[in-house]
Amino acid sequence: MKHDHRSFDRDLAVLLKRARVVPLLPEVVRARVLARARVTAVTLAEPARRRGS
Amino acid sequence: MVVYRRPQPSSQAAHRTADTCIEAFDRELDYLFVTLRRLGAAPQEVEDLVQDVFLVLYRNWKSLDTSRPLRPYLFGVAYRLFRAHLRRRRREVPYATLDPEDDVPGPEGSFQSKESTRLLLAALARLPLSRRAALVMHEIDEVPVADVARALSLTRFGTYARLRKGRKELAAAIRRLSKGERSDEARSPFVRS
Repeated sequence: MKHDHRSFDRDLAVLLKRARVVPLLPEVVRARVLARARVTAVTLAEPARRRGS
Repeated sequence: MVVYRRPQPSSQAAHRTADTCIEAFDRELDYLFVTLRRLGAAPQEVEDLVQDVFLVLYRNWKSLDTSRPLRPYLFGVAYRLFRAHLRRRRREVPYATLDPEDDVPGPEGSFQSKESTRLLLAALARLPLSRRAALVMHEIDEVPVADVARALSLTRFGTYARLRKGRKELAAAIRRLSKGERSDEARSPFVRS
């Protein structure tokens, strides 16, 4: 039983270690999210630009 | 009389701010997507939540200490936004207990299709959000306890307590899921006895 616990803890540690890898986003998703962020940045910057502040 | 204005230095500064902020956001985009999935966001919710994180990041960019690692800060923002989103979803959707493991991955979902990741996400989804967040940040992102406490606005003692309880719950959830999958197959109406 104790042995089962130990092997389970090892498996859990392996699972957590494997989960540390950050998978790369598909380029199409990255492009879409960044385009949206740029539009937001421009929109938010516009009133400040007009005020010249 | 025509007054010619030179380009406002502040306007150029605003552009520079936006550029550096978007560059940093781009560098951490993969991390933000995977973090929100680990916290329990459904694949179809992640993009909107990431956009909300960008809004917060952009608004606070000037006051951020960019010499420090950005990830703990982004994690804290993502956690708070997702928590607020969950509260709204519980009010608005009659079936609030949607199980993330049942989500059909979208075309972008294939980047998270490994079995072990799916098992871990399903197990994490069974933990209360505060313990899930502390566990993901410390055990997966390997953020020191003091930084976890700061990012999630917890005391150090509270963080240790959440981690201790969260580890037990995660182990139990993984055990249940591993056993449950086998017994579900046996009880499945599609399997003739």
